[in-house]
Amino acid sequence: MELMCCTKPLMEISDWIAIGAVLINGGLAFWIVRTIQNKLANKRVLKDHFIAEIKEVREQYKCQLNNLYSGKCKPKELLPWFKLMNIKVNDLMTLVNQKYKIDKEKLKPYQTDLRNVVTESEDYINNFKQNREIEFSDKSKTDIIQFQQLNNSIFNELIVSVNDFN
Amino acid sequence: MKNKRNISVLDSFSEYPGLRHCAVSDDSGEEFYHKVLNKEFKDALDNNEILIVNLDNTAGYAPSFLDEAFGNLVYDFSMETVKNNINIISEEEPSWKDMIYEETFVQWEDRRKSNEAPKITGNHSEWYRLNANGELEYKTWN
Repeated sequence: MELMCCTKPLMEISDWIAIGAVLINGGLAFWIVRTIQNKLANKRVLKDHFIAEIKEVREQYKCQLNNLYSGKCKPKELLPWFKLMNIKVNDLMTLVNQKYKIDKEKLKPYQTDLRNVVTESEDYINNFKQNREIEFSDKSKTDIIQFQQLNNSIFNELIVSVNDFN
Repeated sequence: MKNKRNISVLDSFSEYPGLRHCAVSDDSGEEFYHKVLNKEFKDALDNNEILIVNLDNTAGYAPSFLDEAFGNLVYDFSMETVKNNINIISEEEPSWKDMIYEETFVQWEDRRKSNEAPKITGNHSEWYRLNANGELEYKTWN
């Protein structure tokens, strides 16, 4: 009897509480890490998606500038192309502005200035009625090259801004 | 509250608008102005209506088309009258609206004040324009 009275319980209540606390903290830590990881992964996936979209738009402009330079464009086919690109860029920039606070007008030179350089050029106007492929003069080609030189960095700046946003 | 008179470039003119002048393109801004916009705007004024011009659903515009069409309107009716009686809709490409309001209207109002008449490159029937007495006159202007 005496022996039994002296036997201490293997675990006291405070020990159970401590174990419970450890388990709860562990679970909480696991949940937090998983949630943050998922959120970070989501953010990264979204950034990669927008960066890919920006690269695609850059490629389309680059391709069209090459076509313009090598005289492969017909005047009447350019207007719908500019319109479609503008709609696409507007959608993209609206989302990029909402998610990453980037200026919506960042690609405006490509949306308006390039269109103006092309459609206001004499070569474009003179070939419009017959819809002949436009052979740009040296002056117009210089204007196109100058446009490219001035604005080529915009896409990289945009990609960096998306990537660096926290 | 004024009533609205709706027109669209697509329905009242062309799916494929051209360039500035009749001499360089079919379906030009000059032609749209003389065939559609001048008369519709005058009718809207006479009926105390706002003219709603919808630019959407065409194949796309050259800036010169819109500049010539809406610039002529300002030249013939004055910027104040045009601004107070027109509403331009361009949901697909909102930048057109900015260009027309911020550049075309202002530049063509200056032209109007300095009597720098628009270039006419097609044969047009009579149209409305403010005369020297500030009254709208219907004739073939040079």
